[in-house]
Amino acid sequence: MFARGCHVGVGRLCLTLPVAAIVAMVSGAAAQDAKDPRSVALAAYDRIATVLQSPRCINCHPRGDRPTQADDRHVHGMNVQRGADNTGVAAMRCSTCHQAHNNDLAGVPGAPHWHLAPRSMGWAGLSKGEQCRVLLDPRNNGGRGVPELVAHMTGDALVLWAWSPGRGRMPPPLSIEEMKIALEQWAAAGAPCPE
Amino acid sequence: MLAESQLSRRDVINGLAAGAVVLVAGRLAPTQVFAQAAAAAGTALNAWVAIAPDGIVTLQCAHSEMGQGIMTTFAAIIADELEADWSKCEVVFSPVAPAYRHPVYNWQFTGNAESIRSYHALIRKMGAAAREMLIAAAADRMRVPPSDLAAREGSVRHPGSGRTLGYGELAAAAAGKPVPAEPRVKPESEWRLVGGGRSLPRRDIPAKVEGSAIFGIDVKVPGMVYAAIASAPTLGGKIANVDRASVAGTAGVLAVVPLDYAVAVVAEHYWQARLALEKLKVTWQPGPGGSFDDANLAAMYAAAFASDAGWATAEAHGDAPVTLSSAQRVIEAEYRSPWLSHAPMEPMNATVSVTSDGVTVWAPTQGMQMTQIVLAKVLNVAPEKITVHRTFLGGGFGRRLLADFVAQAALCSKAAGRPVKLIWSREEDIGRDWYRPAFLDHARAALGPDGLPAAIHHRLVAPSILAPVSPVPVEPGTVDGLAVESLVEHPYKIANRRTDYHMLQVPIPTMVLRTTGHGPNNFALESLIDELAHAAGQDPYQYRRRLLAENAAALAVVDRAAALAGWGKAEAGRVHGMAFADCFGSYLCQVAELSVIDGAIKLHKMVSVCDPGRVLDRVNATSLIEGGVVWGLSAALYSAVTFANGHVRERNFDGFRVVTLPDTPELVTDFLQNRPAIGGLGEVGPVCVPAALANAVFAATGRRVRSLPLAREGVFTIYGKTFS
Amino acid sequence: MAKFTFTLNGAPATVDIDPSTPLLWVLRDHLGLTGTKFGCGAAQCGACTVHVDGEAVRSCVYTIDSVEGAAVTTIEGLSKDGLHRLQKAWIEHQVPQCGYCQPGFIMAAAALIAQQPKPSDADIEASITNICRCGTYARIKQAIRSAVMP
Repeated sequence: MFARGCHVGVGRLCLTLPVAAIVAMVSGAAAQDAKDPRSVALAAYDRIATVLQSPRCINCHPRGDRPTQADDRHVHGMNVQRGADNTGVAAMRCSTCHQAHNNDLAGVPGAPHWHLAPRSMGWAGLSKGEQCRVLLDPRNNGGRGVPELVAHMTGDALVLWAWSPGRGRMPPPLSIEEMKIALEQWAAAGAPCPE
Repeated sequence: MLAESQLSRRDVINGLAAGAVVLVAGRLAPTQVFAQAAAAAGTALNAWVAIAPDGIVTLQCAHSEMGQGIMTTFAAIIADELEADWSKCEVVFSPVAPAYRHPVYNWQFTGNAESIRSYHALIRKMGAAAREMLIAAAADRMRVPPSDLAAREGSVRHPGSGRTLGYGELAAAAAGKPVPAEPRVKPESEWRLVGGGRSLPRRDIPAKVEGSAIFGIDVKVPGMVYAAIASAPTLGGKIANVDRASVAGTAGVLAVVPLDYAVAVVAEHYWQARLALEKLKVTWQPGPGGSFDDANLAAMYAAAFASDAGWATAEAHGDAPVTLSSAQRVIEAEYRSPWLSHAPMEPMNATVSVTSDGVTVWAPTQGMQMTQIVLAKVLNVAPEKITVHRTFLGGGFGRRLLADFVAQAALCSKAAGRPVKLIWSREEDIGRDWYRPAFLDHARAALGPDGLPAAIHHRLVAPSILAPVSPVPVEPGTVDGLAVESLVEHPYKIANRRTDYHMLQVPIPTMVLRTTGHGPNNFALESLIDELAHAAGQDPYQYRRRLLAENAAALAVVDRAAALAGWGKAEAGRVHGMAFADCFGSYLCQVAELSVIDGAIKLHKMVSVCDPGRVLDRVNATSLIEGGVVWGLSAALYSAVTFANGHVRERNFDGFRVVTLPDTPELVTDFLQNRPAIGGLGEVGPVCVPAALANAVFAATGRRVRSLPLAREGVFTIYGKTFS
Repeated sequence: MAKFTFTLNGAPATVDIDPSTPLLWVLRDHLGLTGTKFGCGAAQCGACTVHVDGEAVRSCVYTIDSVEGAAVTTIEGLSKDGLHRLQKAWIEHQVPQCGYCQPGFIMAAAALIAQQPKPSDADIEASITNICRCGTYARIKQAIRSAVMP
């Protein structure tokens, strides 16, 4: 089931996923006591965190002014900078190279309104718990409550790009359907954060 | 490239024998010389000068313009001797013809910083000869002796009467005058366009900022179509099978052209060719090196170094081995320079039309004659049936001395029956280069009681860089004269010196790169000199002064660089590193000034002082040195290619890193003119940069880095650290 | 194949072409404007920089389908009356060597000073990320500085 999200032509890359580890984790979560909503939600968040900490999300959620790129999360080339509005600096906007769609021949990814998350939503290097609390804090996340966050993470065109990231990039370890289920479980129990 | 003694011999040849021969040849066979010079409007006075009735002078530039400003300075040298009006001079790229060949090598190419130093005497004579013929024609018309006349700014004037005749009026008659055997070249005091601190705005710059300059990739020819190319995934690999059906019916596709180690697709438009190439199914067989990698190569270098066979002695003065064996104090070190790609900004490309009548080439080439010879062989056509038009070059750095990409375009044209413009992708350009090979120099030095080296013995392992560009074969087991440059014949006074060289055979195409052997070897030698100075407890600048004590011109260069840098007086927290070179007929001393902030280096300044004998254009010379510094910083800090599975890993500028604007330090550049002969500039600027930088890193951190690029050894600039 | 219409240097342009074709090759190969250069094909060097609706765009990776209805400016159309002040500064400082990358630099610098009329050195360093193998960066910086001086 984890191969489903893999882009055609990157099968070899998918094999490098720690599949066994993820399977163990997910099945472990399923074995949680169904009567303990908090345990279920925390287990769901563990799965969510694998997505939020995947290169597809974290690359554009830096805590500093330089995004990272690619599956190895190296610092973005071309001296790319955050800029005042999170879309780059003059003459070096995100849109200088990124279009609303991927360009697989050139290897440049693209999606609508390609930009960096604001500094307040910088996640790189945070633990699961820290990332969860940053995510939930309306002062950081643009005043969003949990339902708006879930809507953002399951409906925003740029977020959804993560599941069709173009040639040479791995999608997040959960499929979008699995991500939606996990978010619902997490939100239903009040969106608790791990320590 | 050539030793001092050879230089002086060459100067003699230049000024007399070869010059006279070419002069005569230019007169005796004008049709041969001008058959291809379509742009040379007007009457030809010799192979270099033509004058139209309206006074417009057309000057031939034998060399290719790749940013060194040659078309301006080269033409200005002729115009100065001609006493032409510079505003009425037009400059064209000469045909590929015997008159324009290198006066010593008898070979037309642009490289090795030769364009001025090897042609200067010849083209001055050509300008002067044309001037004297114009004066002779004017003397006839005015019925006065030639000695009463003066030529100036495009006219011949009779000062006694004030009568003046323009060159345009005189050209036809002048062409019939005898060619003076020994025309009088002007003394330097009479130069008006070149030298003396003067500078002319470069002729090519307006078009280059307007976007109208025509590089090879910009050529348009009626009926032209495009080709894209992909070479084998392993170096030296060949096609096993091409499935032409896999692109059948693909939009625009005209031909699939198997080229032994590569396959090309010809299409109506370039992007159609690229798309078809993506679709084309090709199976390949591996190259002779198979799936070799960095570890295999390192083992080959180590085995070559350990072997007793394969060595040739490039230089031996005194007896270095004996001195070393009895020395009290021996310093031993190994220096490594990496594999490098040329990566000029304009990827390899060429436009060729092959017809039954002949072959026409439009190419950004440094190897004009090579192009003609290679195409003649590949197409089985007589060389005189091949016309080579030269365009601007978007950089060269040596890569464009070869004609492999032109030959590919020619074969595509032949297959498609149309003029074809072949354009390499950047991935092809970096992944299928002829690389500057890695250099491994093992140096041993004996320190005498005065702390100075009593002996130095280099043992250098490197593949040949000369072989593919040499008109004569370069055999294994012999000395590649370019590969050992800077280790031999340097001006340091060391009684016992020896350089042994092992020409390593590798499954990788290798060739020269800007700085030739001087680049890697200067890093080794000047790092070693720095190490010896520190081992002797002496200041590296003063140490070099002692070694150069009998060479006033070299001392002056080192002293000027030290003074400009404020050697020994760096502000708190900053250090200096120095390196010196004798290369391409010029002296160079560079001083890097840097500090260390948060474990990274901040390069504040690079001082360069160069003595090229004569500076003909001050602004352009400064540009060449300063651009060279930045080019050298790329080589010192970031650039390298590495190998895996029989091919190069780095395929674009994300892997093959080069310096960008934030890493550019303050550049301070000055020139001296003490060397007796005119030297080169185009290759000189980068030469000392790696050693100056590594020596400064040692001064700042106590860490001696003996392998390039520095970033691979964990030495980053503040900017470089952000993407490390 | 599909039809795309846009404005090129102030005049209407239409091409019927594969939608994956980069703007660079449309300009160079189909519309005959060769001042915009191909350097890397991966948006890494900036030699292909043009303006799309006033913003700098690296046209080698920018497919034509994103240009529908937009206004494209190339080096050939940068200035309507004579040379742009950056081009004049480039000549005054004798910036180019081989010159191949310079139109891209000028277009990037033009986008910079259009948005930041008085860029600091730090602004220039952040915004001008193009590659020049001849190493003309120092003169590029001088030329930009002089072009924005009052």
